[in-house]
This record gives sequence, C-alpha cells and structure tokens, in this order.
Amino acid sequence: MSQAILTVEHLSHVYNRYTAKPLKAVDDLSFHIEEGETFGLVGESGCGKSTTGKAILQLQKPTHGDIQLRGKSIFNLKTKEQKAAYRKSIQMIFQDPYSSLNPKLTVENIVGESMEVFSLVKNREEKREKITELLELVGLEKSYIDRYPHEFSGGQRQRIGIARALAVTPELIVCDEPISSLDVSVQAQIVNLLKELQSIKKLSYLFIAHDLSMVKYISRRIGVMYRGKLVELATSEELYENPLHPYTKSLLSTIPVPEPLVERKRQAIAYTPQTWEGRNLELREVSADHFVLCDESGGY
Amino acid sequence: MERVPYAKGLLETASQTEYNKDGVIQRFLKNRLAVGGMIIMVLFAVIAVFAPQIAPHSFEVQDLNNVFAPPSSQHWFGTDNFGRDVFSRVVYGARISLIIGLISVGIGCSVGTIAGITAAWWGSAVDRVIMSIVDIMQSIPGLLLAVSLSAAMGPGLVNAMIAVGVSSIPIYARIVRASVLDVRGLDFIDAAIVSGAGPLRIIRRHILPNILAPIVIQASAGMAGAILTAASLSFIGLGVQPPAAEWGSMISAGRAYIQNAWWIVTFPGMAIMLTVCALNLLGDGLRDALDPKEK
Repeated sequence: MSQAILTVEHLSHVYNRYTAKPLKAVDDLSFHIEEGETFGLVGESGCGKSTTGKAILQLQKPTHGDIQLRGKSIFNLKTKEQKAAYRKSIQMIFQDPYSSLNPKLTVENIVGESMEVFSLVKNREEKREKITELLELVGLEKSYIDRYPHEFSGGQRQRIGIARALAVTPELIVCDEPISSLDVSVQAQIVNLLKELQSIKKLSYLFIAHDLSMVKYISRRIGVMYRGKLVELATSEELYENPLHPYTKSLLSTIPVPEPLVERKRQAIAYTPQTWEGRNLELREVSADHFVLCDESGGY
Repeated sequence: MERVPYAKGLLETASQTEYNKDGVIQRFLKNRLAVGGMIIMVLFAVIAVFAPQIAPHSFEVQDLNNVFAPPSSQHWFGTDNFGRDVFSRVVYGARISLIIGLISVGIGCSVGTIAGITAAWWGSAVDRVIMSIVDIMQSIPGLLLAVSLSAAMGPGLVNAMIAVGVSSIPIYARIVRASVLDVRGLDFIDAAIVSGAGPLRIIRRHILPNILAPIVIQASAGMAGAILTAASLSFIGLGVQPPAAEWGSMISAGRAYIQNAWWIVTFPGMAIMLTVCALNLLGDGLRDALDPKEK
C-alpha cells in the first residue's frame, strides 16, 4: 500500500476564463491515491470536487496542472494503445443513476459498450457471458440483461452503473457521489458492495461526497475541500478524532449522532470563512500523515 | 402530510412500468384523430402506387369534344378545359404530391439533422458558422425562399423538390441542435466517453436514438407544409409543368373557369386539404405518443 496509482499535481480549473468574472473551481490542488486504497474527497457543492473527478477522466481539460497515472502524465498520451490503456485503467460511477444510463439501450448494450470499443470479447456469446458474470457480481439477476433502464429502481440502476465501470477491469474507479441520490437503506447496500468489490478486484477508489457521514466507513484517507483547495488531509480515524481546520470541525458537527440524548445537546459549528488573500497559506504536515491548510503561525 | 402505505408505492411503480411497456404504438392507437389521419395517408399512398390501375382515363389525353363536362358517372370529377378527366388527374396528382413531400422532407431532414448535430457536438466556432447560415436562411420566409430558389434553378419537378427541401433545412437544424444540446449534458454521454467510445459512435448510439422523436414529429408535420409549398410553386408556374398532373398546377389552370366549371379547382383543392389535414393529425398524434411529457 505504498505505491501511488494516481497523482494529482497543482491542478487548477478556471471556468469562464476569458470573461469578466472568471471562477476558480479548483485551485492548485495536489494529492495522490495509493494502490488499493479509498481516498475520500469531501466538500460542499461548488467546492470543485466533481471538477477534479472530471479532470481525472479527461471529461474536462484542466487549466493548469498535471495528473499522472502510475507516474505517467495522462495529458500527453500519444498512441492509440496508450489512450486505450488509460481509459481501461480509470472508470467512473456517476451520481445520478437516472441520467447516467441511456434509456434507449438494454443492459447488455450499456454494460457491453466498452467491451465492444476495446474488442475485449470475440463474439456476442462471450460478451453476454461476461456481462452475466458482472451482473451477478454486483448483485443483479442475470435475466436482467435484456431489460431497459426504466424497468429498474435507483439502487438497481446504480448497480448497472457499477457493472459498466467493472467491464474493463479497471484499477481505479472515480465514484462521484454514487450514493447521494439513493435511499438511505440502499446507500448502505451500495457502499458495502463497493467495499466487497474492492477486496475482490483489488480496486482503488476516489470517493467524492458532500458530507462526511458515509465516507468514513469506506475511506482510508480523506481530503476535505473548500473553495477549490484542500484544507485538511488525514487518515479517516485521525480526521474524525482530531480535526484541526475549523471547516472540517464544522462539517463533522453536522453528522447526526444516533443517540437522542447526545444529539439534542450537540450544536452545529458554524464556519466563518477567513480571507485567504495575501496570506501564505500552505498544506503543512502537523503530525504524521496529517496535513492542514494554514499559515506560518498556524492560523487558519 | 398524508402517509403513503408501502404497498401502494409498490403498486404505483408496477403500473408505471406497465405504462412504459404499453409503449408508443398503444398510445398512438388510442388517439382516434391520429389513426384517422394515418388511414387517409395510407389510402393516398395506395392510390399513388396503383394510380394507373385506379384511374379510369389517361391523365393527359385530351378530348376536345367533351370539355367542361360536369361530374357524371362517366367522369366522376368532370372534365377540364381540354376535356381531360379530372378524377384521373387527381389520382395521378397524388403520386407527384407524395413524391415531392417525401423527397423534400428527406432533403430537409437529412441535411438539417447533420447540420444540427455538427453544430451542437463540435460547438464554438463550428456552431456559430452553421447557426449563422441557418439564421440567414430563416430570416427569409420559407415560401419566398422556395420561390427564389426555384426561380433561380428554373421550373420543374426536381428543382421544386430541391427548393422546398432546402427551404425546410433551418427548422430541422434548429430542432436537432436544441435536442442534441439537451442530450449532450446527460451523464450517459460522459459514461460513453469513459467507456472509450469515439464521437461517431456516441452520436450514432447515444444521441440519435434519443433525439429521434422530435425529428419524426417535425417530419410528419413538415411533409404537409412541403406538399403545400410545392403546390403553391406549381400554382404560380414554378413547380411541376403541364401536362403533368399536379394538384397545385391543376388549381392554377382551372381557376379561370371557376364560375362555370367549379369542379376543376374544387377536387384538387380538396385533395390538398385532405392530405395536409391528415398529415397534421398524424404529426400531432405522433408527438403525443412519442413525447408524453410534452402534453
């Protein structure tokens, strides 16, 4: 668990770059994901976490910075083989299980698309056989193969999305809020499925979420994002036991405690944003593997 | 707030699935007006295909001893100023009108769809160039554009079809572009990119099937417009030339005699009205069936 599978270096993305009001969605973001680990990326809407995910999948070209897959930049892949290898290594699970499945295609065609594109199967029988295996792996019946997306519930659709991501046997899956549009009871099922798949398939995850409640059960390390920057980065236990940045504290305080007497006494901590202009803010290591964004004197 | 029992929720999901399975054809068949329109169009298509068998007389043989004969058992729709059988000419006219309708809609639809997809998919400069051309074309009224085009290319059946087809390109380009922009923002397009699909594959498998409904709707309603425009061109002498039987040119030729031989203009006029009406009903029915959310 030491080799980095994905490294993001000084990533920046500016929307409306050439207009009067440019918007810095991601601002000089750096982190890495180790092999076999789940890296949680947490922050409120608009903090740039989805933009980061999209940049990793080259769905959006970042303004600055570099992303490396096993030490090789993904932005200067020359040959067709290199590009195919990149696509096969990183896959994605989407937030909205409704808009992420083409309503006009059957499960066979949705899950089998990448198999066709990369000629991973010789004929239709082999393709159907592989898809059936994938469906069983994600907990769906194999008879679903000829059905259309509208015949499924949100949780089932999300499982189809997971099967699609697994079709090319990827090493890293970017999960862009995969559970936030699901029922609470279904959320746990999907998280458990992702955990199970991780141990079977030796996967690494970038798990993007907007609150900390579910992320701690799945992530080994968590990065908290605010205004396009990482404000705190630590292992899951460390972050929960010893949060340093006021924004992290505020996020943690919004998770309800399943104990009425305790919950009633708790109060949400409001975070008052500080000015970042003109201050020498940097991610500094305060203890082993615990980084926090602060200035020289330790002010946030 | 009212509590919804769990079982009721289940039932609702089940009936919704049923509704979706019911599908386009059932929903279309429930719409009587649309089915009527479709029956009329099928009838016209049969008449057009079997025109030589159905028509009792030739459409171009003149019988100068029998001009302006009123409708009778011999000549159902009477005869015109050259003694030609109006019924036979209306029957043959169905051929020309349907061919014009199909081919000009084909031209407008295919060119418009390609232009719309290109503009929406590649965006920025390509989009601006294509949509500017479309804007320019749309700033000229459709009929005027068709008239100028066929005046420039000369009269004739083929030129009329091209003129009508080209003048309908902008509407298809606009509809297709808007639909592609809608579909493009959906996650499954991103998913296809992540799955390694190239632009052509994405357009063919993910975009086209999802924008087909508005194109089909526009094509069926557009065919009515195309037949009408072609008839107008023939009426002013720019479309199909005599002695070919075309409804528009028949009205044009017969209008001088309307006071003493009403049948020469009335029957082709009714034929135009019936086709256009049927196609519009068909188009409306298709829209309701293909796009239930639009209601």
